[in-house]
Amino acid sequence: MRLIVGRLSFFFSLLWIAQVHASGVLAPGYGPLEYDPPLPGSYQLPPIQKAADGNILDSDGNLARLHDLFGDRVVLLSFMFSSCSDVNGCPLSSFVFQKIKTEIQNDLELENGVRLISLSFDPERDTPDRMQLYSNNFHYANSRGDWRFVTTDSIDTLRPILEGYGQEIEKFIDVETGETQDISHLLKVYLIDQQSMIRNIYSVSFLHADLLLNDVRSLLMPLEGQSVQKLNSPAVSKYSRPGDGKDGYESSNYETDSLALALREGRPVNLYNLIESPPLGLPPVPQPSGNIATPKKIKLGRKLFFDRRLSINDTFSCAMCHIPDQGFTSNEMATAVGVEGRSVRRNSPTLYNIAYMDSLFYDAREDNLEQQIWSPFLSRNEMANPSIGYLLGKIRSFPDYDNLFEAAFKGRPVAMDTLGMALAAYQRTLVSGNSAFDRWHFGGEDDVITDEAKRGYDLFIGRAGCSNCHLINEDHALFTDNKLHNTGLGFENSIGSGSGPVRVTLAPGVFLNVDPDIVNTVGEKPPADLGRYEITEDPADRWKYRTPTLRNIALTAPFMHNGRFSSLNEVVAFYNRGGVPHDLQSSLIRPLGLTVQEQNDLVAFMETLTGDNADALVLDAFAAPVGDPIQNDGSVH
Amino acid sequence: MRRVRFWFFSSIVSILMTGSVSSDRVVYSTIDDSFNLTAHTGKEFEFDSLKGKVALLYFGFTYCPSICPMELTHISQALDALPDDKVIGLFITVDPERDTVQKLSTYAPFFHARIIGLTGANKEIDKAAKLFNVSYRRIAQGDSYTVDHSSNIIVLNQLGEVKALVPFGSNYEHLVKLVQGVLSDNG
Repeated sequence: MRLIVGRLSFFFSLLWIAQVHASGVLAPGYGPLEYDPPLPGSYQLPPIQKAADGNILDSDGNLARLHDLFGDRVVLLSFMFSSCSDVNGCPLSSFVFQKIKTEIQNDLELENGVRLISLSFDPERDTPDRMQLYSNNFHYANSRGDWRFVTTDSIDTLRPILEGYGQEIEKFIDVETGETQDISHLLKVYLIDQQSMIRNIYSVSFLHADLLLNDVRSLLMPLEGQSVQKLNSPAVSKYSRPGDGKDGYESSNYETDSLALALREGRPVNLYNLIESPPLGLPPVPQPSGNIATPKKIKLGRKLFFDRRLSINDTFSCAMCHIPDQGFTSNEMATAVGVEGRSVRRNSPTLYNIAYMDSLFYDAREDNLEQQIWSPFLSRNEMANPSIGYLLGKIRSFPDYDNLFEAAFKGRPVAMDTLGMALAAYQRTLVSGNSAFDRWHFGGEDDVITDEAKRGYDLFIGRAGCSNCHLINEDHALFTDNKLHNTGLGFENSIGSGSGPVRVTLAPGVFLNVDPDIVNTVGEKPPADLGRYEITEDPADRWKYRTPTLRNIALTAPFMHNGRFSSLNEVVAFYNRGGVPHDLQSSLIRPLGLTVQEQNDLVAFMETLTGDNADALVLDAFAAPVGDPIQNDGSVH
Repeated sequence: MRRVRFWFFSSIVSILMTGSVSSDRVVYSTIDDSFNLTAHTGKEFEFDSLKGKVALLYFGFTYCPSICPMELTHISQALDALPDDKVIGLFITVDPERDTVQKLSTYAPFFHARIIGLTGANKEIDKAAKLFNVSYRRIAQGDSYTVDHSSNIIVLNQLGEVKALVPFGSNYEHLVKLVQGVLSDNG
């Protein structure tokens, strides 16, 4: 008997395919999904609007409010009526819901977190008794998961609910008997979050169990930065975002999201003040005795920082890898790219609070900001100036720099040291603090960070061990020990990663999985990077990199010395699994055994470390002059 | 404990339902009088024969390309996993014009020996559909036509009462558990 049924299913699936091609297209939800959706939590579902409330009758006939039925779960709400006969209508949403219900049988998180609701818009025929028959179906089968079947007591009660959800219906009534023959409606399923906000609306083309489950799982993971509580917290940085938003680029309904040029209106800030009195949470700004900052030095350094003429082909300024509105790093590239598209090995460190670093570069090869400039100025793959003299000569030739160095440095002209001193003075002003964390931890304010962040803090200084390297002191916190450690990430890169297929995004929503061998024939081989060893030539120093600060970390993605991780969740997951164990790995790195919630809590904590003046610094940067080769006089266009 | 609770629950429901005209409670004595259908064997269908068994009732038509075969496959897989003498499948056509006794006699048994195909005069099919709140409608398709129809599986218990509606798309494991639940509910 079994065998016949097996052959039967096969036969009928062939028949089905043949018939589908003959008679028309079945909705995508009936078949397999033809692509891999992005990982849950890796994309955003912006709230669309508040889900409408209303008076409903549950299947026991009890009056209830729709929102009460939502409870604190993620809800998938579908409108239906029991005598629906359109194959791409209610049967489709029922089919998709059934698949989700089946998935719930094996997933405790779904079972506890999600509720399916089918609401009838045919109160005349779909009485509570009738809806109870649907509930019975699951009652008798003793199946897990929560799927409610509800109705209303009359069309009048139903109408405001339908309006609230934008569901229009057309009834076809038999003229003679007055009976409803059919109801026509646009099939929509609503994804509603734990705060009763609609987060997605699925039409027939997008109603597929895999997509719904993906979105449900995303909502069950608390999204970064979102919180249920009302907080008295400082605003996060509004202007820190790439000029071209790439969120959702992987989905086929991506829409270009470019920041208007008009919004890039600058507003200068008194940067000198920041050095004089750094924000809450930060110690006094260390300055070398030979280069105490003055307003003139700072202004000159700022002008130089944004001057594209300081590169061999007049295209690159410091600001092009340390982009102010991208956290003074680049959010769009894991590792930097220099003139003529030449690849750089490492991620650009953020310049926020750079004044507090004892050493510069991930391998700590430079002592101070005054000297650091020559590495990017002279590196062939960065600004590619062929020599020191070349660069200084160029600056000497610009009329817009006349007397600026002399005025700032007591008569001394542009030279190796004054150039470094000016740029260093500006960079030292980029201090950013008085974050929500600072106000909570040093300022004693209680309701400025969420409970998740507080739990995250406890983990940070406790079980997760982060503060061993990302230090928090008595009256200030730099979140770095300024030392070098081996987490194993460099080791992993040197050994080489796995040989799985590489996913290539060709266009929004269009992917190819390409064999890595093919990619390697045209791609650049990842460069060797042995970290501190390259400076000391001591084998024990292989793959050691300097601990970065975590201040403003929410603005400085991607993370790690090579930009390996795009999200803080990935970073936490990396440390949770104990990095990449090997003989030289730091003994401070070990598997942590954190739950998903705990990892999210750590991320929530890290997001409280954004200083409240990030926007001010970005707007100051927008106001800075940009050295333009065409005008050759430093004027802005 | 669970068994007692269900029994109690369903008897409450039955008590509440008596006295009101509700098409959700269908008992044999009323079916017999209200419509006549012919089984695919050619004999008139006696609803008494359902007594003591759980019936999985499905309205469809043989020319249905996808929905009906899917549900009938699930029903037949479920029938396989359930005791012979306790469960039966019923397939009532919404297309009596094309689905004659002859047609049904090759269609229904193809899925499972315990699925009975039912057809009859248009009027009788109409009555049956109304009784179970099933709607159906012919849609022209070129020279031919298809029939849109409700696709719930209707579950009748051993007393002929409609006990549950299974929305479209469930799998056979679920149907098996469902029928077992209904069976244990009434002893």
